Amino acid sequence: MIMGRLYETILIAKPDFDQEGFEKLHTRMLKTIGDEGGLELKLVDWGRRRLAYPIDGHRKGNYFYFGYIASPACLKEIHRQLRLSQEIIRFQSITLSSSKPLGAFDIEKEREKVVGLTPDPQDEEEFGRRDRGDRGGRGDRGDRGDRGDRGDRGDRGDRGDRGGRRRDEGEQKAQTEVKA
Amino acid sequence: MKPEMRRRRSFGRRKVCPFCADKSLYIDYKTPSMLKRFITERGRIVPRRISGVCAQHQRALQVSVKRARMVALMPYSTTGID
Repeated sequence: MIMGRLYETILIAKPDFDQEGFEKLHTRMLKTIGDEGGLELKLVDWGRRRLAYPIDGHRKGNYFYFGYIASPACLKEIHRQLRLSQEIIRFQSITLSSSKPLGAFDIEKEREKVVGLTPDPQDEEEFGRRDRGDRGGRGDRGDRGDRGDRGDRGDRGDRGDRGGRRRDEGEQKAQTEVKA
Repeated sequence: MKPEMRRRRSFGRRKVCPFCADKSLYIDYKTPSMLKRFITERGRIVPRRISGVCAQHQRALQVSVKRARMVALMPYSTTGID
């Protein structure tokens, strides 16, 4: 009997992620889950959100919420696939139930437990306040114009002893010794 | 403890845990709008001696905030210079 748990995973895809690539990843995940008798319960697209901090240079990300029943081995395999994916920049899985035989899950009851609460768009404003997004190029800055005469540099003062004379003397002495 | 010490500490209203007071409030890492009431503007978790949250709920809160941070729904820190 394969034991399973109820899991939820949050995926963050790149802001310019490839929809087709994601579909492929999703079907592969479903296959991994299905092969072991698991079941996908919910997939919610939270859409594009501003990240609270940049991840791998990305300031925005596409969030997906994913609720499913699977075995721990299956979860491990899903994680492996997610790590390999170019589209996913971050993921996090949470265990929602204790371990039960896969057949013993009351699907409808579990479905209620996976609540993909969509975060309020307001939060995004709160935490992403300082991110003003792409401001675009600054364009041609134009001619800087004549900077004018820089004026007299003034007296540079006493530059002090430059030293080094002693070394010259030493060299001369060495040369005379060779000659002798 | 001396009587005057006790008197000095006992001013003000006893704080009540907001999650115990309102059972409908659910601590979840997917709702940063609710969690943000319990972090400072720098992004740190407010100690429960300040917020008045009870130990059980503070623990749940702490886990939720950390999970929310992990998926960039909440900041680890906010410096002001970005």
